[in-house]
Amino acid sequence: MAHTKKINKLIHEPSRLKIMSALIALDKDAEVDFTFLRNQLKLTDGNLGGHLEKLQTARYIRARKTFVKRKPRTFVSLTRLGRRAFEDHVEQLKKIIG
Amino acid sequence: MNDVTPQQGREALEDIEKIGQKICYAAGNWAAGPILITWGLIWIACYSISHFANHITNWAWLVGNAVGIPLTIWFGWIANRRGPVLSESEKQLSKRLGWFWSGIFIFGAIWLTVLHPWAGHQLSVFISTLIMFAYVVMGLWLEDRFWVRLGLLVTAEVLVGYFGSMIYPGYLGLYLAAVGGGTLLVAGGYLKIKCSR
Repeated sequence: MAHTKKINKLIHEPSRLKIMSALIALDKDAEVDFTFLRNQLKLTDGNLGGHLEKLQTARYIRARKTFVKRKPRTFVSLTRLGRRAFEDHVEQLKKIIG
Repeated sequence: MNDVTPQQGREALEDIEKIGQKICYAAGNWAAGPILITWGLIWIACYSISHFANHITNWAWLVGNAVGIPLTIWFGWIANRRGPVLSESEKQLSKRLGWFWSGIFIFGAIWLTVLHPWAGHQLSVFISTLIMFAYVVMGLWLEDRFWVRLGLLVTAEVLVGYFGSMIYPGYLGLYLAAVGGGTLLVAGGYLKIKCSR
């Protein structure tokens, strides 16, 4: 029997759940390298990029583009709104399992 | 997907926990792979020299340390500046780790000076186990079982070699090069793959 508690669909999608889980596990002020995130979560460039865009549109994450030794690098971090949304999501999941 | 079953909820919470642990582990140990590989290679080279060309052992270690210590500092610095995870607390932790290792080297030097002169084998075992003791302490401090296990494993290997050399003398250097150096090299390779950017 399916439970009918409201779930944040944007976060609950498996890849986005992974991204948010990774970001929330780090320090509050932490910024994570895009390539590192891609490798650790075993996603493709396009896949990760697409999901990050959706999370960014929802203002759950922010992305900062920079150059390190002339190479472009993107750092991703969780916003306060994203942290709160994820914590609420976890609370919902806990309620569902009882 | 408004409906989530308790089973799905449980699985999602487990995934959240697993990914959190994985990412923290990979971020924390990102620079450790190259450092372990460096020291594994130094152990292999210097302990092999102590077996095949014993008269230049001291020089070999002098060169080994002169290469290894700056490289270790450099890898730490790179992780701090250009690592995959940038945060103020990461920087603070790196600083504390730097002080911790400086302390280990300073106290090691003090003990060596006070207890001098030692036989070659005792010296090798002392330095190796001192570094492994530091791994164990670091692992307990950072709550990272990898370092505790690695420290205990290499300590056990070194002790087996040391006491074994009383029965089969003349092979400790070669043994430490292959087993001790090899373990550090493999552990470093494992971290390098697991924590890759």
